[in-house]
Amino acid sequence: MAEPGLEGSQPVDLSKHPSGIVPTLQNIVSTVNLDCKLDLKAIALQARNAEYNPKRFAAVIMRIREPKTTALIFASGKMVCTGAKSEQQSKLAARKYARIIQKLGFPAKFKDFKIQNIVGSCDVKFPIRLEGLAYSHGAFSSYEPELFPGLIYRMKQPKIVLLIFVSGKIVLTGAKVREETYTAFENIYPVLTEFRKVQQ
Amino acid sequence: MGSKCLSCGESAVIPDPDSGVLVCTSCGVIDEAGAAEFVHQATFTDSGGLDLRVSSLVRNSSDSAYRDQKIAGATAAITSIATRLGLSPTRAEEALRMAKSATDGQLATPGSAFLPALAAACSLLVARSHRLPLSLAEAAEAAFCSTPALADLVSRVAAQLSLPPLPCFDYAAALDRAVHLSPSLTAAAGEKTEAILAQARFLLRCASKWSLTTGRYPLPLVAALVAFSAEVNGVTSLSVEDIAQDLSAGIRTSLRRYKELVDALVHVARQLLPWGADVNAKNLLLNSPVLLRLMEMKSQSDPSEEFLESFAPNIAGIVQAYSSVDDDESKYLQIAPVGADDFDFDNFVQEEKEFEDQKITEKGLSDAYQNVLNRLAQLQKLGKVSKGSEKMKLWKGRVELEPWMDSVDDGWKRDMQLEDVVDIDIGYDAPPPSFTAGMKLKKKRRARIEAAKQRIDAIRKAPAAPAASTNHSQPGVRNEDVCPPQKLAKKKRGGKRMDDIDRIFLDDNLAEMPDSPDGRKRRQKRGCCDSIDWEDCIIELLLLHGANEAEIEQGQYRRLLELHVFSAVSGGRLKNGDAASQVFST
Repeated sequence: MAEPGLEGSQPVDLSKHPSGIVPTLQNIVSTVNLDCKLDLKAIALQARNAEYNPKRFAAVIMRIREPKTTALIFASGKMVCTGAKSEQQSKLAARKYARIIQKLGFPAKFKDFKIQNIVGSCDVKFPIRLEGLAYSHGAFSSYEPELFPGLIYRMKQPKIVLLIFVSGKIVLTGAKVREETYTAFENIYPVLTEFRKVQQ
Repeated sequence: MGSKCLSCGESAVIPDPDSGVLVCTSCGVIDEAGAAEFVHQATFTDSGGLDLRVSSLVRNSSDSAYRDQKIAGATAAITSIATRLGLSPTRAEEALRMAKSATDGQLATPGSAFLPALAAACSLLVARSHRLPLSLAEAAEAAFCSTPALADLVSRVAAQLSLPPLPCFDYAAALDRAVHLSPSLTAAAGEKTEAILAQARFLLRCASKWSLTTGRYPLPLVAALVAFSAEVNGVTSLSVEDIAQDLSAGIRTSLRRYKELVDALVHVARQLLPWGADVNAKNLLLNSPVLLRLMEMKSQSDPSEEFLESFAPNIAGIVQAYSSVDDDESKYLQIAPVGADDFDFDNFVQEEKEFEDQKITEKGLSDAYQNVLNRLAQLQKLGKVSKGSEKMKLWKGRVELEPWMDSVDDGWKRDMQLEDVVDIDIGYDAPPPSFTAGMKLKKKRRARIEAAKQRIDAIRKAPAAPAASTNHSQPGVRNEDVCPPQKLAKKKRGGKRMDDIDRIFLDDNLAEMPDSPDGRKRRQKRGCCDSIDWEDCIIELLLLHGANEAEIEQGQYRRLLELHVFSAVSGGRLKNGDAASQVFST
């Protein structure tokens, strides 16, 4: 009998990821234009999975379970979809929301779908000397332990922000396509190994 | 226009389109009263915003008096806050200048919440640029605002004035300040304050070596260090909480840092002290004077292994000649290289054996201070030490020693940056606590993954025959085979309640077959089932759906469940789903 999934992890493509580590995507934020004016109150009244509190926030917050995402739907017809774990999931979720709006009687279209932000994370599996990194990469990094435990590294090319923690955990955000996340990680990895905390 | 002319009494006052002042169309008198409040049309920019350059010129004399008063009040407030935050009058003046240039000389209205925040932000920037130990928390407390709000203001002021990046927080200076300004410590410790400070400084270096400083709030650690060294110096009336309160550090965090410090020191004691195995967090305080001394010695004597090896016979002489350690210490230091060298120990065979019997390592030998002194006396009697010092002269001629010794001396005297400080050897090195915790968790998850794989394999490789037809011939085996899929299916919905339900099912099975020959086996199995919790079930489920094991090890179950289990778009989902259903239906 075939035993899919129990043999262990698939090998990493080293030509694409020389570090041998592939950042995992944690959140995708996308926007889409439904291209029609929406009556948010009507949506909130008709849809079960919607919440609307105009005093707090001027958009309907709608959630679906598969893909598990949350959408912010504005009266202008613009929509923000968050929480998807992959680009396809994000698009599918946005389509589902558009369909829900259509079913509620609005002439919703699906225009200008765009991934706005991709958040990834990974673990380099060694501790990092943040002080040293902050000192030698002062132009790009900001390390204020009084404010935030991690080092904030603003990479210029690709334009990605990395949160680097002493435990070796890395968060990468600001990418529009997943390749940017991967490139940013491959760029920072040699720097991280340089500032690896060596055990005596 | 509805307003009346004060001169002629007719209601024909209109704003003059060119100058903007109110003019009576009847008599031509300019309305003075309205002029002061009027803002000329030209003071609005094309985009409709207020053009402050022009509008600030439209003022009357009373306005100017108010402005002066406001600036005088704000200046006094800023200076007082800066002084309260420990800045000297010159620095306070600098902070005031910074506040003025950041607000174009306007400062802020006295009594507003912005004024103390501005004062604190500028004081913090000045303090940090001069490497003065002012913490953000302290400044925020003085400004009656939250730390993030103040940090935001600080970054805005820095951006407005295009200040260069600030140096990082100076822990050593903060420690000095904490010790000298803590009223409860000064009252309780009295003359011991300096000793406490010295020890706390050393502990700070150790703590940064053990990554207890990285990514943490500085003040709680400082509080923990001061509290520990106060306890070591016999000041027992002070608790961590007292010092944390003095420093406006978080009490719980300080206690946590204290615990981390104690744990790390216990590890060091286990490695360095011959009786280290008996040291624990409770009796650490009794051992800590010896331990700290030992760590100090080690950090001074061992800047690099290669160096020591090359200078093995002579290190004590070098230290004696160059460093400020007293005679006892230098004697102590002498013994380590002697032990490392192929020194003639024939005369001490008995003694050596004694030590071996006690299972004291080479390091342990050097730790037993009294024994060291005895042995040294004997060595000196035999003239072996002088032989070594002759060699030393030879070595000394060959190699330039001073730069290295200077660096060692400097390390103790000047306040070092954390980055410089971490390269000391104190006989024990530890990864950051967060890293250790992460590794532990991963190890646990790996064990769970292996267990889950074994469980799945056991189900898959179980004989398929009994499942379908021969239900009554082999009840024991069959029940085991049937139950886990049931369990898995239920556990998918998760929760502890499901565990109970499983137990009930199994209990029912047992009740049905009390005389079953392999009842014991089943009971064991049940025990095994009981030990499975929600995490095991999720791991099983993920494995069945083909999730990457390395990713499961990371523990991001929710993401993986969404990607592999509850996902309609994942490419491999259907295939793996089939595989899972095959297993369930086995």
